[in-house]
Amino acid sequence: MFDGLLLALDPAHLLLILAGVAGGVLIGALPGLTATMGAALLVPFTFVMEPSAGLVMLGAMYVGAMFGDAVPAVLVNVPGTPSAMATAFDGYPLSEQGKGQRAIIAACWASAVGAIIGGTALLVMSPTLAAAALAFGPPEFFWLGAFALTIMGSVAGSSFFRGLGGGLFGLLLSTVGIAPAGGTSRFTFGFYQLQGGVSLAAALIGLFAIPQLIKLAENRKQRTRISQYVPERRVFRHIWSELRRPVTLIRSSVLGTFIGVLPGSGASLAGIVSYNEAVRWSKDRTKFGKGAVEGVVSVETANNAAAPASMVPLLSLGVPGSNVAAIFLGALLFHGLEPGPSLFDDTPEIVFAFVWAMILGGIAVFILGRVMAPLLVRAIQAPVYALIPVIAALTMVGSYAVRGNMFDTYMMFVLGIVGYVLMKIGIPVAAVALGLILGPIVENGLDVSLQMAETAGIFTVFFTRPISLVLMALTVLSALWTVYSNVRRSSRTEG
Amino acid sequence: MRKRPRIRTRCTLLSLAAPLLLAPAACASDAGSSDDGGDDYPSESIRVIITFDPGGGSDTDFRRLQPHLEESLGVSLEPEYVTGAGGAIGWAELANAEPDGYTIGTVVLPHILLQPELIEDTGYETSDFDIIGMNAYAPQILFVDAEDPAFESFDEFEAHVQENPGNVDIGGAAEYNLSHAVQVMLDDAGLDTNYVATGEGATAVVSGVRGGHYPVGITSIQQYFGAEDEIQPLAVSSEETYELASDIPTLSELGYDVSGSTNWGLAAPEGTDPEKIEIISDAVADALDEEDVLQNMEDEGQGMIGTGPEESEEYVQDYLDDIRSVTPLFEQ
Repeated sequence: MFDGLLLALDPAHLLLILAGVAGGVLIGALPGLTATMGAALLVPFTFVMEPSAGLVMLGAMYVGAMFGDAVPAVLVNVPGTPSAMATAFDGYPLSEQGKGQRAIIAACWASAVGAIIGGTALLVMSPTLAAAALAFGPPEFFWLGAFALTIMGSVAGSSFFRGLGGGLFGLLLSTVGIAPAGGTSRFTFGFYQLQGGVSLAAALIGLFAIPQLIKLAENRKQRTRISQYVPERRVFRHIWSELRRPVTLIRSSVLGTFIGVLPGSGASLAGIVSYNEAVRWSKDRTKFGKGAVEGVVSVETANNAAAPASMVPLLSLGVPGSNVAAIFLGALLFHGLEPGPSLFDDTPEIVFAFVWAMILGGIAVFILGRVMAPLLVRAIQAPVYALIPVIAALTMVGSYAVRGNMFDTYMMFVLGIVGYVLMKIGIPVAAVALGLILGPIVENGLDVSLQMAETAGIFTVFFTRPISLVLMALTVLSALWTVYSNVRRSSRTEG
Repeated sequence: MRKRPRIRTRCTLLSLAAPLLLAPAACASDAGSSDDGGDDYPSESIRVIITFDPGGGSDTDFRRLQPHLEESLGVSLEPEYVTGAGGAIGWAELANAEPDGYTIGTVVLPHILLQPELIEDTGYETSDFDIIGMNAYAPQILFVDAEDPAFESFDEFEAHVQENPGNVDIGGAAEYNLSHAVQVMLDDAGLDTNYVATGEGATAVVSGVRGGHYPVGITSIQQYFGAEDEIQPLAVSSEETYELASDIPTLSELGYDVSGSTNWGLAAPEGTDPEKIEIISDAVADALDEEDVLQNMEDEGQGMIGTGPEESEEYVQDYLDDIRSVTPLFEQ
């Protein structure tokens, strides 16, 4: 384990970690470019490197991308990748209040903490976590998704029914394309391009960025800015005071780590669940959605903890749990390393160097973010007439880049207009995005569970599995809690 | 370990065989001089549409050939990942691309045969492609968890299914894919199981079996390479003993006349100048002789096909005939 640390601390490797993180931040910050694509771009370069050097750089890149996606979410309300969706809930209001720097540094610190904790979990408890992840079958995924869906009613401080309406619309959108069960085409209206469903990344860009651009353009005073950049003097102290009670950090890291370990669920789900829990356990729930640093911290900690954690199934079982892990699997195989239980015994140095690189990557995020944040925040200093065309160009590139499909760009525009209309009638687009992200997880979990029920029976599949039962109970409680707290809130405002 | 010997069919030979081989255009343009610069083809970079995510089987198959192809063609190949709908979106894009030799793509059997048959509005037909070559193949395995195997052998599994017909789950990646086809063929041959489509790819099938969510899984043999300690194969779906894993019994050895493999290859949009296809396919054939390509295939658990354009047409047609005999079984 410590030989690996020494290897990662080799000066050349440290430089690669810094370069990897910086590259990752950039990729994450460009909407449409995901960590998967970053890894795919980087892998060919690692072929000519030493195995340890290549893997160290890949690990650091992944960690960097998980922070980078928070930057546009905070500054212009456009998440860089789907996993930063909930970062925008509180990050953008902070920007509007001129506290963008605070939001970005908070995101950066939270990301660093998340990466370090997630990485440490990968380092010391991989086998345990991997065994726990295997116990998660289709019924458990169904209930985990359903649990995350209960945030719909309370998303971003909107009213209960509007949130619910937006969420249901998002769920409906997620059903477009070939059905996972039965193979029938749903809502494709004869367009073959819709067979693959609505591209999540393109939809997020459309839903978040386009209404934003229209809103900015509506403002007659063309020299206006999103907000004034105010260099805060005591920004570190402000954030420190928020983080002094480490409950949010710890809760978010644990949630992020565990959800990250589950194959196929990933960082987006981790961010959403973590945000939801931050709101639930907070003493002052009304501050969320209006610029709570705690909200930004909860999401960024969780999605960064999920990144190293998603390597657990790959390194200890040989099963890649995410798209990025699948690319890493290719890189490991290329260097003659066979993932699986024997990996830690056969080539401990290289594997541990890779794991340490993610932890050190967290520290690099901490340092780089601190240097870069004041520079990045100046972006919103640009007058709106300059900012709009730049963002508009980025939305087009980003929506095209995800699947290499022009149709996705058209779809992005259409959803952008829909998002604008929804915004006007007070339905939060975040709820729509939530439905879109969670829909496939819930549908697939239910579908596979029902296929299993054909032999085992509905009762056995849904009511005899302990984890499934716990998640079911949590979902019901969470849904009731949302309804209850909304009823109480509305009766209070009326009375 | 070639599945079939590669025949470099030349024009004289082909003109005799042309009516049989469904590739009548191959010689016609050879005779007339090609007007759009067949001599200097390729003169610019070639776009390669890959219909699955980076790191998937198609990407792997292309990437190992890429450096060698670039060297012999003298231009760069630019992969473009057009993904979604199990590859159908990218294949529709390939089918509709300009057949000028500067757009080619990866194709997979049986996907490009099954999708147009079973899905509405796929956006392409199998006949929209001119195959450049089929390169690699991998059969399917039926497997159990190695640590806590539900069945010690295929015989034990078979006996259990016969006692509980229709009541044993087999996990596979998706509906109407090769795994599902093998399962329905086994079903038809008297091994009545319940197919559970995980909808999340091959690695989810392995996790599902290892977590005990279904006792048996069916997926590409590639999942077994590198995971020999984790999963235990019961049977393999290759026609003959699979050389890279010769200890696994084939389904036909076990008394079921069932076989099927996933095949990876390259294709151009229909109507691409056969001379240009020939140029690329020659480069592919040379690349398939390279040591590192062979090694990579072996590491990935894939066997070599190595058919050129004309032979591939026949190969695909044979595969299609097989598939047509299976598709009615899905309905039942």
